[in-house]
Amino acid sequence: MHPSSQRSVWSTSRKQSGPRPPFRRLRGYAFDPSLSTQLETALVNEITFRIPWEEDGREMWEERYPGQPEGPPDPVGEGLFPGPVGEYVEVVDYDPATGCFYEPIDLNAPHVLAQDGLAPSEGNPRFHQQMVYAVAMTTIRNFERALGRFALWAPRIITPSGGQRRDEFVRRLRIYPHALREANAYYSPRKKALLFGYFPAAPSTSKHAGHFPGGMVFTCLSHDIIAHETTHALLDGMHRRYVEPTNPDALAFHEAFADIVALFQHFSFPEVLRHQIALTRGDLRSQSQLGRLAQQFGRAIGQHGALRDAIGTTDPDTGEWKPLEPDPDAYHRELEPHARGAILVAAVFDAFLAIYKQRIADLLRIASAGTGMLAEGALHPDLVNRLAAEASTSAQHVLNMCIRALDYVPPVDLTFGEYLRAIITADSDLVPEDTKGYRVAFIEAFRRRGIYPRDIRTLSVDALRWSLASRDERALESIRHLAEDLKALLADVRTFATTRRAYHDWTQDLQERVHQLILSRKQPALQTLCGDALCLGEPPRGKPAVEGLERDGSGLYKFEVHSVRSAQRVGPDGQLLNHAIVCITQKRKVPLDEERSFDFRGGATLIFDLESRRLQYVIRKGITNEGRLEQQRAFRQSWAGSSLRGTYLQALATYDEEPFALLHRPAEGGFGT
Amino acid sequence: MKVRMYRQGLGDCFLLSFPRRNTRGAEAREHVHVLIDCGVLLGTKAAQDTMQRVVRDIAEKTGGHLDVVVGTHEHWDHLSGFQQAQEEFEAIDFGEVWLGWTEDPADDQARALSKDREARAQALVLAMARMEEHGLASSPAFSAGTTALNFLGIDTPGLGSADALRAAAKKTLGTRGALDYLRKRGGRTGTKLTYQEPGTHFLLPGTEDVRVFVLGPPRNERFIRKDAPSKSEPETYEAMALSGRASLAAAFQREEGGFAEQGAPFESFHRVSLQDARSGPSSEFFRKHYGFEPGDVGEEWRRIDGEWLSTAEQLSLALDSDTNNTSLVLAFELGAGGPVLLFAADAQVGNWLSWQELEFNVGSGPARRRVTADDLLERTVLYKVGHHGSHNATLREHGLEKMKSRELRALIPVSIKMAQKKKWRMPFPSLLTRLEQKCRERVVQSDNPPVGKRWVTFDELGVDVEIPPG
Repeated sequence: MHPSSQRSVWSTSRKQSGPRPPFRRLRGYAFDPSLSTQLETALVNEITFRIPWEEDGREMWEERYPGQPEGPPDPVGEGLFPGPVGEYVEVVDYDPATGCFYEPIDLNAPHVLAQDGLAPSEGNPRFHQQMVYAVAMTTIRNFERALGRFALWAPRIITPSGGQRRDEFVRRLRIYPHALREANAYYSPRKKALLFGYFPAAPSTSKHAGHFPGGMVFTCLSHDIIAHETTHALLDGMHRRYVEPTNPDALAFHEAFADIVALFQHFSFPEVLRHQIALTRGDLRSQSQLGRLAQQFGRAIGQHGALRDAIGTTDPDTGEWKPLEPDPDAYHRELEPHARGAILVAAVFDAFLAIYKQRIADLLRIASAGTGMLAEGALHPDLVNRLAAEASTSAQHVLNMCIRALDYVPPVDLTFGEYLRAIITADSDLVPEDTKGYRVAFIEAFRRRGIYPRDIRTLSVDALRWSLASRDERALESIRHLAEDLKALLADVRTFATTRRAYHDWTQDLQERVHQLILSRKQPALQTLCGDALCLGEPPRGKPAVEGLERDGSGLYKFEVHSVRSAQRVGPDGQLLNHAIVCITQKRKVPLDEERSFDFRGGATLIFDLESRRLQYVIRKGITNEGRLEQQRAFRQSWAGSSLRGTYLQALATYDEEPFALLHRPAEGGFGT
Repeated sequence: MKVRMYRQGLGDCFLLSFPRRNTRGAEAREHVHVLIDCGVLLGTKAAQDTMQRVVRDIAEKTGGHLDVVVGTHEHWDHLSGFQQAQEEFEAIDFGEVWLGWTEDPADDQARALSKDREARAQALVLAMARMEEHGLASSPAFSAGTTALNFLGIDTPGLGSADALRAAAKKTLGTRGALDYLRKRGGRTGTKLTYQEPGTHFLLPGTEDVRVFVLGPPRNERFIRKDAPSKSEPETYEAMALSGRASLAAAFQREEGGFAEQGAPFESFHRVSLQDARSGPSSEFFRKHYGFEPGDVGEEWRRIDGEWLSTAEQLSLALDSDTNNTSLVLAFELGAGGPVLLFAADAQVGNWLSWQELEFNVGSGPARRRVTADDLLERTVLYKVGHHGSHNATLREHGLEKMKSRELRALIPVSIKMAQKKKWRMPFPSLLTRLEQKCRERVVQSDNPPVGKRWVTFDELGVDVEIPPG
């Protein structure tokens, strides 16, 4: 069940003596190549990533099947192969615009191994392959650590003509480091692949541009862009429906979340962190590299600074940086996904800064003889180290809170307000006593930006925590059996699903079983507990059926057990959290306008506490909520983007084609990666 | 005064008739006639015949004399008539011809823009040839390319194959002929050709007090590149397009099995040719992980042979929008401080925004007054809706919302039937709703004019709209 378990099998059977190394060390850029050419940052920009060790795949194969060629059933076995091709990702370096491939790097080659991978180089495609592998794996590891379970990519959905739809396991995310000749990079949900572009930098448009005009810029060498795109893929693996443009927050959330992960990863590089802490004298609210994303890309497309900056902006005329003031109206005004997402990123970053400030208050007092006011000049290196440690811990906590919250969100149609509720709920369950004020920091940062959930009475931790739709004791009692069944089934998964493929297959099977369980007996209780989020059973006699909601052979409304997951975590005080999360969804085919129709989805996320065997939360999105339907219809009708595209191509583009490719093109009015 | 909006289909053709100044003696005509654009979308049925009938009607309505002929920008749906009905136009005298500064061959900036437009169109055609080969002829990028090229007078439906497309890349834009005709007519003796500059104003020749204010096209190319009302910096994207285009064009032109040298990211010794990847010494990796033949392990659904071509969509939309932004935008003021007629051609966001920087100083001495774009918008009583009612050719906050006149009426030259066939959102529903509100229901669509209104009459060829005197 835990990510590390599957690899341990091999450590004892290796021919070579000595314990298995915990990490593979690979060199790379902390930000992107441009910071290596600035004196201020050159020394800290090249760092060594520590990637979970993957054994040499070819050696393992040789051990297991001596003399046999590598081959099917799986294209390659376990371990790390040239590419790099590992358990999670496969890098295939095809450059269709130039018309060629580039040879894959073998990270197990002695010369490469002996010097922590190839040295950073823009001119060597193999270093590019190493860089994307290192950053993608770092991002995946952060994700798995916070969730405490395997990360899975979104399955490939196969619908044979006339046949039953099925989900096919996709083991590896494909990464193409040189797929495009444009200032773009995106995650393709259709191909389960990351496509990175390269392009010549724009001519200088201002004296502050500070880049090499015409120089080649590779998006696959930017830590931020790689982390951002990998996160899109990870998020899609968890919540497949979040790529649908159902409300103004939906796509913005995908962007924001990807930025949040990329940003907080900056704080996990100790050298960079110490350097920046020393430079800013511990004040992370001031201008620093840490709050910026994709600097080279931003400048190369002619912007005056980083592509995005979580805490400040650079004046295009003077080149001066100034801190960003929270604007409570922005949330109502900004509809372009990147700009809107930036509001959420700023809110989370603000919460982080407040937490950090609180955590270092005592250190500052100690270092300043109780005044809290540091003396002029450079900080003592010991203080820098301590501050960096606090910044790193705060960042890790905030990132964990953001990732864990993904288990506590509705299955479809997420809004920022609901995400805040998810963060608060997830954290309250794991850390009952909020002694450091993390939750308050979040609420305050969100409030300052006008992000509130619509349906709560007060903006407090209590009100923000999800609740049950109904306290009907009989229904709750009758759903207890489901909790018991889930507990047994999930225990099996933990015992037997030791590889990601097995884990995928087991959860698929689990979904089917839960579906059967609900069909067999739990419908009325579930209906009571879920309210308008689900519409189960058959339409009442004499009443019309719900518009567009399909029914099965026996006349019952169809529903889907969208996912079944378990969340097992240990809190800071050693308390054990053991939750089962079941997402049930339904869809209605309803008209969009005279010609077109769309799938209106609703459903509920049910969270069971497996220790007490009680249903704890029901997070709802009304399927029979006609008000929500109307809003979504209006949003989808008006969703044209701001450019000419809305005029010429709206009707043509089935949105699910390449949602991120479009989002990330300048023509949509927002540069993005 | 009266405005006649022709009903030729999706395209612009407007005949404005202003009262002529009282001159004693010779002058017999009672109106000053201004023709703004004369075109219909490529692919319209019997286009030539329709345009010829339109021009004959213009001749009849004006007595064979147009005081001013205006070509707003280089798009087929605004200019086609100057190509398709040249014979009919020969029967009409032109007093003056007005084009935007962007069409002036003696202007360096204009020449660069025009050359650039042609180069981009060519790159696009080559990209589409590639797409055709990769079976991507029904992709949004291909469709966007078709749109952009059609507007420039290149007939893509006739180019069914990659080879035909490649041949078309060598031809000049169809719109060039129409523009040349206008320039030629402007050069004849007795006719005056003017390339209009934004920020200028003058009395409309022949009228007592109709003043023309030239609002666009902007000189600042930052505005020409702006197609969306977002905060992101527009120059960025154009700068990008300029430097990236050469390397993209090289890739579009790449021969099968060859390399695109220009813009290649690495030294040549790093490359493994497609041939070698299929069957060379290191082919095992590529066949296993990418795959070429049906028997290879690398699965087809994950390949990316054609994905990079979708950047052509962005090229197309930018090409189209940039051309729209070179629209010559004219405001006609009926008497000092009086009502205004606004003809915005297909101006996109950037063009609209550039007006904010203009200031017109009219008259001298005590009668001197300062006029801004906002004044003109506020007094607008007739708005020719930009770009057939698409959503980003009418600026909201700094445009439509500033039109305050109770007499406001809007003219939309559009054919919903054609727009639906093309799957274009014209007119855009929410814009139409807002126009209806602002104009108190006085919105006239060329394909469906209102019946039974005192101020609107129409026949088969055109809709006549009366403008109330100031």
